[in-house]
Amino acid sequence: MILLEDTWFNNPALQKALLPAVYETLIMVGLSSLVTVIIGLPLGVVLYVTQKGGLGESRGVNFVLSSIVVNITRSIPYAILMVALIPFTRWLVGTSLGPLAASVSLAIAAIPFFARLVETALREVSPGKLDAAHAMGSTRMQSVAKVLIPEAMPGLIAGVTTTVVTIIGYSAMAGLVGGGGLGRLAYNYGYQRYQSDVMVITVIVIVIIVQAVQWSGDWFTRRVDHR
Amino acid sequence: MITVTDLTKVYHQGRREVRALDGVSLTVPAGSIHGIIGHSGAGKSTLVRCLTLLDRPTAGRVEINGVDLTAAHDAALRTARRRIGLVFQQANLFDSRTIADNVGYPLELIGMKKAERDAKVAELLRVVGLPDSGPAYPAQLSGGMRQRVGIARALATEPDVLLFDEPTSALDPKTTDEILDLILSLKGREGLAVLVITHEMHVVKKICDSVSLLDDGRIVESGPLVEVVNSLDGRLAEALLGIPPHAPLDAGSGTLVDVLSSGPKASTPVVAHTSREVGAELNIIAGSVEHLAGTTFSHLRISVPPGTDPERVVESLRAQGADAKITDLTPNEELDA
Ligand SMILES: Nc1ncnc2c1ncn2[C@@H]1O[C@H](COP(=O)(O)OP(=O)(O)O)[C@@H](O)[C@H]1O
Ligand SMILES: [Mg+2]
Repeated sequence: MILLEDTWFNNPALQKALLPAVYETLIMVGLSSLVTVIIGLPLGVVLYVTQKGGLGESRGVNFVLSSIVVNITRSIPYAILMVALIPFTRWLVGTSLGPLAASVSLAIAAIPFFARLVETALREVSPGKLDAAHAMGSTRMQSVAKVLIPEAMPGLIAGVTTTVVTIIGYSAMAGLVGGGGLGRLAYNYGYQRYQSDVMVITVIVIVIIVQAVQWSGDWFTRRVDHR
Repeated sequence: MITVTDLTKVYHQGRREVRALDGVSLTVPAGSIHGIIGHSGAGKSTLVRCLTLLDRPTAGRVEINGVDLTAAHDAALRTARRRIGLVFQQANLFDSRTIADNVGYPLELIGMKKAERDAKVAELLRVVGLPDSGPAYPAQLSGGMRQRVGIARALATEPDVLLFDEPTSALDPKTTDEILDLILSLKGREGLAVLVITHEMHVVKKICDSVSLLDDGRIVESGPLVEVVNSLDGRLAEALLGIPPHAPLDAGSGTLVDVLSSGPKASTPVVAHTSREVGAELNIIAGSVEHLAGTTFSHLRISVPPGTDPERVVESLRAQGADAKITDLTPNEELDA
């Protein structure tokens, strides 16, 4: 620990670059997580309701979304996806550098992943509850908004937690191709300049961030779980 | 009042057709409790789903106070559904909502204001005997209490029909009786017809005014409880007032006669009287005596010793107002198969 403290105070790279890197990582992760939830939740709901025997069964929609959009995106390794998306990113945000640009590929990789977790969480809601909702005269929208999603909430929050943790992992990779953040810090100093202390500190910070996300996710899950 | 006419439901399993309901017709007037009893696979769950339009019937009509639900779609259908309160076997409460919010859910749907809703929910929770459970969550309640909440929720929109789908099948005997008492107490509610679907004879005996037997998608017997029980041949009579299993008789020890008497006659010694009249000792092998819908029924199996004409015994019993018939059980025949 003495050694680490020495490092912290003496290494100019850490003094100057650590906080901005943490900030960039948080921006990247926060932004892409937000977009992932905003798009992935409805996508997961649509996957669920259009499945066979679902509230709004639709073979066509389900096939396109599930087998084509979600499965194909999910089967492309992130390292390839983030490079392949550079032109799209440039078109969308005007640059392929910086945390904002990195958020684009992070979100595109995470949306199908999260949508599957949403679908799974919704499937755990017993069909009897939806029958009850219908028998009482709920519209489909009411069944989804007032029954399905609230009943699935513990699973949904657990899914958000898993997704954010996964995004943190990917964000280190995104850092290498211009995203910045802790990933690039570790790469530039730890790998290219053999400063292993930078590497160690970076890993510790990432572990702390992951723990914080997991811990607060678990806390929220418990809060909403009345089962 | 609910009237069901020729209700038919065909499921398609691949190329196979399953006729889960086959021309079911029945009427339950307001103020009465009708039981539908049937074995597993008889079509009970399908009937519930078709009555509530959770599944569309293939053919037939479901009318409530003369309004045909099967003709309604979308908004009209959702309004119509509120005329039927459905209580499930497993309550199917929403775990994410408090008890008060569960009961208030159907009121929320019709846009009732919060203050009015709260008052209504409090009243409903009193009706089902849970005045203090409003703030609790379903997971904190016992199975019987959850079922009470399910009943309160079904009553919230003041339905014309209350439909119970195996309401006590998941409960222990004591809790079952408490829930049945609650259902009985609802019988007085204005304009309410109650339909109880079950496979438990006990439920029918305790609360039903009339009963139908559902078998293989068809109603094969139906009528007021006191009538269907008053028969030596009917399957409902057999199920509700059957002769309990007894040891098989030795060959040559006589002929078996079943005797059914009801009302005041059930408590008069008809067998003893006949015994004296034919001059033979008639032995009671097995029997059941039940008090159903305010009437006592006695169903006995007696053995007539060899040398006495069983026809004379039957005649003598009938002359006293009991029903009787010779039971042709061969000695080793398995009873209650
Ligand atoms: N969704 C379905 N698809 C195909 N067959 C079904 C379906 N639901 C019920 N059935 C069939 O209809 C018959 C009646 O089933 P059900 O109504 O569940 O009986 P019960 O509730 O009396 O046990 C059974 O033969 C069952 O296999
Ligand atoms: Mg069933």
